[in-house]
Amino acid sequence: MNPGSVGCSVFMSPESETVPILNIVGEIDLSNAPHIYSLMWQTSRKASQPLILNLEKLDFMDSSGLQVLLRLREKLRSKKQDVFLVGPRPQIRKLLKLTGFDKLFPLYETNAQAKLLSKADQAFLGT
Amino acid sequence: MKDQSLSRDQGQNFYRVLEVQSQGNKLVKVRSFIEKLAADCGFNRADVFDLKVAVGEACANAIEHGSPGGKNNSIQVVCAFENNCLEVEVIDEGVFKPRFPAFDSQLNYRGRGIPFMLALMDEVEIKESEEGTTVRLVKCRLY
Repeated sequence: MNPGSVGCSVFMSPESETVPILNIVGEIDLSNAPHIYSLMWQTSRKASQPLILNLEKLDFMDSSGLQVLLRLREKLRSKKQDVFLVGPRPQIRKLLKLTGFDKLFPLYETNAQAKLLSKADQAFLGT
Repeated sequence: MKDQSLSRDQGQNFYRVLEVQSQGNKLVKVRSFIEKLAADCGFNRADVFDLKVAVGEACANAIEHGSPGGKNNSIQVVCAFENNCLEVEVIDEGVFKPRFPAFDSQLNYRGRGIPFMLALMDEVEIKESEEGTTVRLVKCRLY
């Protein structure tokens, strides 16, 4: 990472054998959004559906970060894989609401809740 | 990169200027500057975050559309705090071009910068001139 550049990391939870959990830690802005998108896609492309994006440790995100979420959602949905968001902080949640993203992405408080309800959704949809 | 504390009177008023190169990796410096300044002005955590988002979006616009010379251009972030209101002017050297016209539920990849500013700030004004574009943002502390 270059000195002074924004920090963000992406990693898959080791517990994610049944439902994959991708953790986003740090900040996303114009400077690192393409790189973060690439990391997220590379990390999640082999996962089975659905994918949980854990945002509990996402400190900052602007419209570039929203663009990353949207692109990932489109890409995964093209192979019939859903994306769920877990635990965004109040300020991030506010941005998601302002943009209507809370209607595009099912939003849960905890990984356990997302796992449970995503399975229920799948059962309901017969997938 | 310049960060000047030009004046601070005996009351609670500030006037400060940050000048950065027009590069994406300078956004973190702008956010850090705004975060400290807004906290010094007494804004709470939620308002500080809103200011970081709105000022960051204005700077991102300046980097993407207001810098015909790329990183050879600079962006000025001019902040004044008076009567419990923080006024931030983001001044670039190009023609203003909105990144995102409006909120919508369509899958548009881009274009949410302006709506963020409008939704998060008390006042938003965009002034264009031959020298460049100035985005003026105002957030008032109501507590």
